[in-house]
Amino acid sequence: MTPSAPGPALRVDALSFRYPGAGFGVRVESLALAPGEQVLLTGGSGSGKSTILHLIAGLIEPDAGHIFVNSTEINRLRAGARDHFRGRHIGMIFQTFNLLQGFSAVENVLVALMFSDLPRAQHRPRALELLASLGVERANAPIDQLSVGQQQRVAVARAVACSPALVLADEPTASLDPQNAEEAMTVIQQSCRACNAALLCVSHDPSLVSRFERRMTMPQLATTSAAIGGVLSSTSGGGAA
Amino acid sequence: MSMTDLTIVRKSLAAHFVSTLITALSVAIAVALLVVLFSLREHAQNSFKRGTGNMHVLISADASPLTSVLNNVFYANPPQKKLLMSDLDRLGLTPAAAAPGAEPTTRPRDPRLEWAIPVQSGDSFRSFKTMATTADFFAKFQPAEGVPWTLRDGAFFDGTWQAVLGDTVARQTGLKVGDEIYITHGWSNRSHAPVPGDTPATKTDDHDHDHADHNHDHDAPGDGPHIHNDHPIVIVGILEPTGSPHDRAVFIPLEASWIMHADEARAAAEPTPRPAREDNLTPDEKAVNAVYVRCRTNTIIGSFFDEMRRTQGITPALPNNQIVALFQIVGSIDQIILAIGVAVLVSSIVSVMLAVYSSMGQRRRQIAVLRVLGATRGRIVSLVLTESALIATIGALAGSALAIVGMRIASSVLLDRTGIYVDPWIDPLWLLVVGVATVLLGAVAGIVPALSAYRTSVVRSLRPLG
Repeated sequence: MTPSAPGPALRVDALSFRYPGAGFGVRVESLALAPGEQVLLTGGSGSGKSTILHLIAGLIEPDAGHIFVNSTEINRLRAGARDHFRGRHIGMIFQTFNLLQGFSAVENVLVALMFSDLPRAQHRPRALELLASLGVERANAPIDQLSVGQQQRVAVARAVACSPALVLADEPTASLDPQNAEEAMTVIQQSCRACNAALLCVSHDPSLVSRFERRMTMPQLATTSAAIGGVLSSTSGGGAA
Repeated sequence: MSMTDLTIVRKSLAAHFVSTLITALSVAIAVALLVVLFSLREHAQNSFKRGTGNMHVLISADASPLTSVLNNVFYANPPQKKLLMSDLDRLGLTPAAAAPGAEPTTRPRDPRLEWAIPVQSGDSFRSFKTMATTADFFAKFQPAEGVPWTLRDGAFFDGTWQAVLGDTVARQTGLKVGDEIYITHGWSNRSHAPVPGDTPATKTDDHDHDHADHNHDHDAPGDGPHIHNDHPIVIVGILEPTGSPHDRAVFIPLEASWIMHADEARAAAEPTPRPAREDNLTPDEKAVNAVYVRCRTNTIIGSFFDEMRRTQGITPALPNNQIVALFQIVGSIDQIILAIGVAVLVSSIVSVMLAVYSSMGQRRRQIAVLRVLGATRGRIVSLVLTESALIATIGALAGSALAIVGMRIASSVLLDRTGIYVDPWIDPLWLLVVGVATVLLGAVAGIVPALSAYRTSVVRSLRPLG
């Protein structure tokens, strides 16, 4: 599957990774996300979903294979260049938000913009505008004074602040109650659409399934553990519930 | 305002405010200590030159030149040896008898000399030392080169039973012009610390004839306190501070000292002693401890000094050389003190390292988040080094302020306690040298925690808690 121009937001070919010294590993034969495309990857905990996100983000290096983000092969970049590239082109959202404690909402977004190409003078206006559009009312409040729902919105704002080509969401609703989860997912998907970022969302929350047109399960996407080495099937398009 | 590395560092320091404060304080104390030590060292030698002032050569019969300078200029101990005025006559240090009708001169007979001022110490008033001398001591000798004596009140002495007080004496005793005092023979071991509200007049209480440490071999023991009751001394002048040990001295005319000592000696030796008067003093009763000498030109000093050194029973001293020699003796102690200062600085830098390192544990998640957001390992290392250097910088700045205040305090305490004036001015160069060294050491202290930050595993640190 080779989407026509513009190039895919994400393309993964023959990727394999094994944790050093451990038996656990993952292998992905093929995966591609078109610009703005939103994909849900489901699977039980420990199935290697997060590992795949970390590989795509360049936080860990694969043993073999290719990862292209926005047509740049991220695993061929040197460490420093890979960090820079991640800051500019990949946004990440976490289950525990991973917001910087002691920083205000707007400061959390400003930290992300530090590593962007955006001129400094535009950082604060951009951060405030983004927070307002996501419904964060107290942009200058310390992060720990915001509700959980508001915190996740700040985390989303931070992820899309640099207008990334790809947003990786790792169990974004797992810490939220159903109502907040619903709202957070809406915000994430809308934000990605607004900046035409592709979204790869990893979750074991079945209630999210209906929100994605394209979804896949871990066994469909990747072989893990002892299964590595066998032929793996990759599924795209709908209907993989 | 956009976010900068410095903002992140500042927030991190604020998050560990108490630890940051304590660490910066320990750096500040070390910096202040080191700057003060450096400055004191630099100023101490200059300070010792105050006191010897514009004197070229110090003549005495002491055992060594250093002893001579310490005893006759810095009042370290009562001088042990005496010179008679007749000895000084023979050496050409006294003025020629005035020709009939001519103005009497105080210029010494030796034509190479500009002045020669005999001094005699060894007595005391309360805890202050007396210096018996001539009027030339105030007219020609300067306690610091180019700085003549000035009076805060009254006049210099021009009669026998008069005294001029050094600044510290006047301030600590509260004595005023017109008050009367009695001189104690020898140096009293008793503490006579002035008590606030204590009446300064001393007709009775400062009259102990303590012979425990008097050193004049012609003096007799066992005299009663009545003898010096005959010789109250009137304060006629109070000097402005000079920053020299002379600020702690009571100055009286030589004649007064001679008469008091002669009375004591005669009382011990004769059943019915004749009262001593200026005109019945024997040559043996006219003794001094040393002579302050200034040559007419600097080029004469060497030959005059050599000539004196060859003279039997005379110990000439070049005061400045003796002070340099003294500093060579104490030089190793000096280096030990400096080494302690450096050790304190290093240990405070180690505390910076520990403070930053111990905060790393709590910050792995923050580091991981910064990495996810695009910070390179190098940027993280630089953040940690900056933080460590910033603590050191805060410490260095506070320490510099502390040093400036500390020097003023140390200077005034030294002046009050020892009479040694130490310039409180701190060379900005020392502040700069110590400050820059501290900031650099601070950055070095950040290396270990920075390496720990460098190795932080992003993936592991991002895992959900629990």
